Amino acid sequence: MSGPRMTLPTQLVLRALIADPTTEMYGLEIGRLAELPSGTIHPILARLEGHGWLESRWEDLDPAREGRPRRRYYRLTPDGVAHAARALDRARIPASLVRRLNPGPATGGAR
Amino acid sequence: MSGPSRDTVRARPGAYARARVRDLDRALVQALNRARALDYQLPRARVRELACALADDLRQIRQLAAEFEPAPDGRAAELVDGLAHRLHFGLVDDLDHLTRSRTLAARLAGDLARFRSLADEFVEAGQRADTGRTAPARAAPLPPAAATVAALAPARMASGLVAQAVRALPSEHRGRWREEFDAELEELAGAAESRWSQVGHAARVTGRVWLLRRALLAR
Repeated sequence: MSGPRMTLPTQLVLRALIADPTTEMYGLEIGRLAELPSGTIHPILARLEGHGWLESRWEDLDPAREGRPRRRYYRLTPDGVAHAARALDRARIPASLVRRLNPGPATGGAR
Repeated sequence: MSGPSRDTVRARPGAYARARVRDLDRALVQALNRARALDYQLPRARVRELACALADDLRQIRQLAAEFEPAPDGRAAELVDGLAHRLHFGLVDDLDHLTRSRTLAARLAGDLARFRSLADEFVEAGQRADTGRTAPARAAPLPPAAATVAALAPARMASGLVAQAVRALPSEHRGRWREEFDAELEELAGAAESRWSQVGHAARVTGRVWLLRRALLAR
């Protein structure tokens, strides 16, 4: 099965997600972490979800009670973590961008 | 100065404040549900009048949050501030749905009057808890209600933009993405992003909606 196209924004989104694969994040958070302009990541999230790399769920709250809409939380599936790690290993991303995303010492996270 | 001992004041204001916040929250939900339930469009002038009243409520609750800051229970201040945000943006979202029946509108006004009364209680609680001050610090003057309402309009423009954008999506996906986009706008507004920043966000969503559509259709 072929995965999603590894465009640069897709790589940035995956790097943001794989930094802590167990943590759920909503779209704006992912966009901020990926340093992509707000409002630009939804097609990427939909594509990754369509490939089974991502799973999502609604925030557990009652919108009527809270007076605001629910957020949609995303995280990588176990398969998605493995696929994303491999895809990111193969993909090329400018070193300057990697440094921008991981300013601290390298942790060696996903292989 | 008469009143409870310092220890009592330290022990009680948080619980008291939280109870008041719960009351406010319940009243807020009641008011919002009422607004959503109204059946007939009121004349425009009436809508504007209601909008100004709602903005006044917002102004008052924001003042409450500011006045409660010096109290020992910082958590309560945080709750009030969160409540103010919800009131602010919840009501703004509902302005379009306001209101169709004068009877129900009157009930809504009653709910809002109850807000004010609860808010007054909350101010008193905050003042009692403020053991380090003899006089309540008044919050900086806020813009008039009409200006507040005007300042909220562009967020509605952003909401209108994303509402249009989701129409380009396959029908079975529209509800989900509308709610997700709305939640993002809510978050931006809650973070005090400018109206144009919200509109910019909505415009970027709109500009890429065809990519989203393609991704959804490819599943």
